[in-house]
Amino acid sequence: MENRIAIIKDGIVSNVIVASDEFAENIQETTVNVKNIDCEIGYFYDGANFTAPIKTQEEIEVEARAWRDSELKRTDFIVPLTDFPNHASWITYRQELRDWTTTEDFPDTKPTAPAEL
Amino acid sequence: MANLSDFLPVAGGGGGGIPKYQEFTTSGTFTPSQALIDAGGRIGLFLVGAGQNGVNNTSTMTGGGGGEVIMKYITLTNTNSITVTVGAPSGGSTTFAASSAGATDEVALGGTGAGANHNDSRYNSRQGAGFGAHMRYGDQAASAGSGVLGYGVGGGAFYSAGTGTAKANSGSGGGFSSLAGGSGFVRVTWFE
Repeated sequence: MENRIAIIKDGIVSNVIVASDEFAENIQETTVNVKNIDCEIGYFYDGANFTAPIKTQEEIEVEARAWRDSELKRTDFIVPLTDFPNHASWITYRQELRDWTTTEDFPDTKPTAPAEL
Repeated sequence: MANLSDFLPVAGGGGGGIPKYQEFTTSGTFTPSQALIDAGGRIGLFLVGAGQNGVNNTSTMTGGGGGEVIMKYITLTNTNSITVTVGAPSGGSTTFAASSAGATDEVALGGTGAGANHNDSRYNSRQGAGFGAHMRYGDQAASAGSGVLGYGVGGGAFYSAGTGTAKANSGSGGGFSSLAGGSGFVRVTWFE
């Protein structure tokens, strides 16, 4: 496995590069060998441990909308199949998906699908 | 009467000759020769950011995005050493700090996180980066992005085209089963 070096600025990982320890010693910023450590750009470093960044509310909502869109796309085929099992429930589910972003449940509590597909 | 050699290009004059090159699979320094600067200082750069890791959680199997691939020419004006950093998985950026030699620093961004698709603005901000394939259980898998010249290919989802285990220095995204992306790469080409 390649030697991974984290470059840290102001307590945050700004980049992770492949480099020798000797090369890392000549980098002006703080560097840590993370060959066997879970560490990516944006992680926090407290001088001893790395922790993943907490997502912002905006990031959470963007991901929630992407999930909602993928659910609608995934269930598109059900709409014209009126004899599909639980068809009415699936139509209701799709409407709940559309309405979800305007409810208090958004983005923490997702609408529940009638069944596994 | 002219000699035949009068019509042949001189070294560094363009045309003919074999290009010199230096490749970086790990971080290091590139030092322009005086002959390169005397010949105009033009170099060809091929930079590849590292690929992102794939994921496999309870509902999705998604490949990591490929690293950005940049091909361009820049002109150096002095022989100061240039620091070259090669991005590491997952998603490290590859840099060529050419400002020390009179040009502009160049950066090939690492691949984006698994789960983003080709409509994601994070992909649109990267040149030639292949998006990772995405699949939810019960769905057909999307195809992974093709990258450029075999570099920066998107990671594959289950039953999808794309990389499985990314090769080192390919800049490709890792496959869905939490496989690691490939590290970055740099090639510098010039005449002197």
